[in-house]
Amino acid sequence: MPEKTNHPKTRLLLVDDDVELCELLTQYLGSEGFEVEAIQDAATGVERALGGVFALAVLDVMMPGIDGFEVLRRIRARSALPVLMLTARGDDVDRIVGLEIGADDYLPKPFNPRELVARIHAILRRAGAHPPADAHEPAVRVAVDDVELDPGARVVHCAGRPVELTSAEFALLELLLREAGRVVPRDELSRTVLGRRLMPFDRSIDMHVSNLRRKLGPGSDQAERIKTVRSLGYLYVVSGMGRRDAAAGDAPGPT
Amino acid sequence: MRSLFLKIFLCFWLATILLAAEFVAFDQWNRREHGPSHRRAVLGNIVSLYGDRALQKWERGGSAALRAYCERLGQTAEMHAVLLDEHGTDLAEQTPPAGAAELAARVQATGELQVDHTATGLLVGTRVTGANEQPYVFVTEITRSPLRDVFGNPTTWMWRLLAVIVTGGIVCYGLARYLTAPIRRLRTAAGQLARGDLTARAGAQAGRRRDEIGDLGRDFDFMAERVEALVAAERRLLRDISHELRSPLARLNVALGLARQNAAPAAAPALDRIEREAERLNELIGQLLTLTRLESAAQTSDAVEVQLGELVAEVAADGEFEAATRNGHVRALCAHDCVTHGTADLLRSALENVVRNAVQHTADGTEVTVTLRAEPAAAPATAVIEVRDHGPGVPEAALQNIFRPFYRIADARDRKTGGVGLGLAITERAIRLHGGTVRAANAPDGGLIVRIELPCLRATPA
Repeated sequence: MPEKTNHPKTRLLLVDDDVELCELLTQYLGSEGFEVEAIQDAATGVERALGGVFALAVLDVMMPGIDGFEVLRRIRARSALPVLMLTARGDDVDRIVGLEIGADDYLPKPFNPRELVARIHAILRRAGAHPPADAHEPAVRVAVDDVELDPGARVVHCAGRPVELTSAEFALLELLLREAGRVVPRDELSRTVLGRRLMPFDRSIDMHVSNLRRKLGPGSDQAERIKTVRSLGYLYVVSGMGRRDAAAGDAPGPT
Repeated sequence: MRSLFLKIFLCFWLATILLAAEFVAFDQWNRREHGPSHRRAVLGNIVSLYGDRALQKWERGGSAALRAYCERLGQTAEMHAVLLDEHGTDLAEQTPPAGAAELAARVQATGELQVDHTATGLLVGTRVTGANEQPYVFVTEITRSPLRDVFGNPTTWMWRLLAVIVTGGIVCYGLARYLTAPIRRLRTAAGQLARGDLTARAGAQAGRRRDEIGDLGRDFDFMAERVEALVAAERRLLRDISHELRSPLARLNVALGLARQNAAPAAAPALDRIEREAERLNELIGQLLTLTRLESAAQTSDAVEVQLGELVAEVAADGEFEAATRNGHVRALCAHDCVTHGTADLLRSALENVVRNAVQHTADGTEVTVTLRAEPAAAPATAVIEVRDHGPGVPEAALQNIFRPFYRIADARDRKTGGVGLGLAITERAIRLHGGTVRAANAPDGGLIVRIELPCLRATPA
């Protein structure tokens, strides 16, 4: 079997009550260079997820008994572990609720396993676990008005206080801040943040924007920070203070 | 008259007024029957008795005795009495009541009993004859004694009638409210239930009563509970079916992925085929479930206002995406932006199925147009969406049938013309659920026009 990577295999947690599917996925993902631990029981799944050894969790929200969203909520309450949800196809409520609670992405069942792998890679890249596609890109800090974003340290400060963001929200905010004042089309947002083209009825970007708005709160002059431009995309509103960019080596401080 | 409340209220009120009026009329007739002359006679007799006594007092005791007597009369019988001689002078030297002199003159003139109605009561005068045949007039004003009512003041019965009207009105209003309020409450609950709020109940107000209306309220609540339980059970069933049908497919897909990983390149076409069939199976399951949900009561999501212009633009954009692979285009033209009531996702699916069909059937390189306009002149106001393609059209006989489940025009299940025949059935059901209609017609210069009509809440020019 060809070695995909030189460093230790990325560890994935799979929480799904379908034991046969777990077996098949463990095998498939194993061939793709991942080490998979499969759990059928939701409570154990939460425990293992919070154990801190996994790079990403794949979570089935349609598990009978305990609500998959409850599992997601419990994980999110204590950890920023990237989570990919497996939902029922055509059930919008599942997707929206999941993204609201803080899942990084979703994939409806039944899915193409290649698609699953692609999305896992996209999430991991964003989370910094993988080396970025363009390794030579410098980690430039960016600040607009009262928001400061540091890609190297992966922290965001809003009006001085730190803000906890999922990897998708972080990538989204980074893109919007770098293009502050310009409308970013949804397709571009989808490609950069989620790693895939914008599909019809894919409201993931909208959900992540909504979460971002909620976490950041209103702007310094009580106006909305992120403006929706109908049929086009989103833009980050720049008020008086404007953009301040700093190279990674500069000391932080007001310009 | 549409209101039960008004009916009850007015009927009872009218009945009360009629009864009261009847009583009053009968009473009046009765009095008239027994004749004013009879009354006068009675009154005259009584007053004459007093008058004779007064004259006696005067003849025996002089004006002092008379005055004492008159004062006693005033205290005990509340009669302000005076004894006047033929010239109208008060023998007891008191102040006669107002109008007494004039009345006395009349008595002297006519020799008969005279009765006047004053503001405060009756003024009665009668002739009394002295020992030596001298004519005197005894005049008394009666204010509060029962004697006054012997004559029946006409204003009192008007007040009485007014009192009946007012109290009757209040009582009847209360009665009508008591009877109709729980009915109104039941109606509200029934409306809420029909609109999809399965927790709606008639509540304690209607259910606490012990009468038939209370029974109705309790029965309604029981029925509502049953409906809620049935719908919940059906929703659960659909969800379980969905899950059970999709689990094997999910496993199949992953197993297929594994097979691809390990298979020789020669196996690729067969594996592709398996993948395609699995995808079709999945689509079929999805559509069947949607159709079932639409048909059943399990579909009761909250209706909101939907902007049709935005919907048309979105679907057209997605359609454009698909059409691009065949050099085609999808163009949206909105003359107005219309708002309708419903579920955005259902409407989107409904329109999407039509547009996708159009994209699949339209000849290579041609354009599919989606137009939206309002027809406010139609009653009720309608929004019209038309999807037009440049494909082969549909045989006239089949124009109705294409909206039936699994109906395909070509009997050969040709993959090129796509689908299993459920898309338009879903469209038809969904549009119908929204109170609209969908029809297909062949365009005069080739191609198919599918026309969707929906109730339009309001329209603005685009």
